[in-house]
Amino acid sequence: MSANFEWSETDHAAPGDITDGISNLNFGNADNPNLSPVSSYPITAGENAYEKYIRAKFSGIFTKIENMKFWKSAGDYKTGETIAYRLVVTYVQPVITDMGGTAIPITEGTAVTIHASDGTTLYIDSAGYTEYFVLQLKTSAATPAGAVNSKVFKFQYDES
Amino acid sequence: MSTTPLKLHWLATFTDGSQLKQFNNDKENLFRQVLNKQNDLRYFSLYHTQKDLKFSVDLKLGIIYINKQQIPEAELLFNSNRRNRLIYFRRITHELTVFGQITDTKIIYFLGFQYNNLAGKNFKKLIQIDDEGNIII
Repeated sequence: MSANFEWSETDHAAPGDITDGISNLNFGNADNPNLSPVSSYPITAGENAYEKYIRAKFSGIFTKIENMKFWKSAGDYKTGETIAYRLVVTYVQPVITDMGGTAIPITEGTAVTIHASDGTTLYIDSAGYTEYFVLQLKTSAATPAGAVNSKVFKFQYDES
Repeated sequence: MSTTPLKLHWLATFTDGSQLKQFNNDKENLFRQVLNKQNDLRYFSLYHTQKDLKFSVDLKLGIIYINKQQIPEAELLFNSNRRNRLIYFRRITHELTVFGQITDTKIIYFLGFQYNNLAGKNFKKLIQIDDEGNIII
């Protein structure tokens, strides 16, 4: 075995409803996990999707988790489309207005460094969550109608 | 929940001849138990669970072996007076898709040692091993 890993999403009013083991990161006009089919949650050109509060959850047998990185590894943007991120330790209810943030890196070399739940410690040595990486898909008026391209996010860490 | 089965299991052998396996029947031992006795560690090995492959580090001599074959480059580092410190970890990558269905998990095993030369500069010798036992030196 290695450590048990789960993607986790938190939604709704604080303190939030936690869904461990989410199966996708589909963005849309609803504050819910695992949005499907995505056509039921359209984003109007020039507007944004709801923020997604994502964490990594570790449990099981391990000594240390460190060197945690997160980046978008595949999937081209359509015109005017971008996905932004910011790191926080405190959950607040996701919004659909522009959250600001920074464009998510697209290479491992420029990946976002993820911390433990306190937002500063660079390793995890007991079961628990990381800090939140808040993501939001944004569009512009120039974004063409129809589905955007699928994308792949990677979360990488060293485990012992 | 994603629990990826490990194809390479470790075995630590200490200077007094005692051994600690990662898996002892159904019980998994923490790597921390090896770190706690690192000063007494002589060999640290990874065994492939499905192939006849063994990767070992001799911490006393500073040599990495693949089965019984010494990695040639490591031979040049031989120095019995040097204190070699074990390096072992697994680099794990999980994928999550947006508007897609692909998910994947990849594990790369890192095995080797590090030491300081007489000037205090740190050197590392590492190999990377994938789940199939392929090696990157």
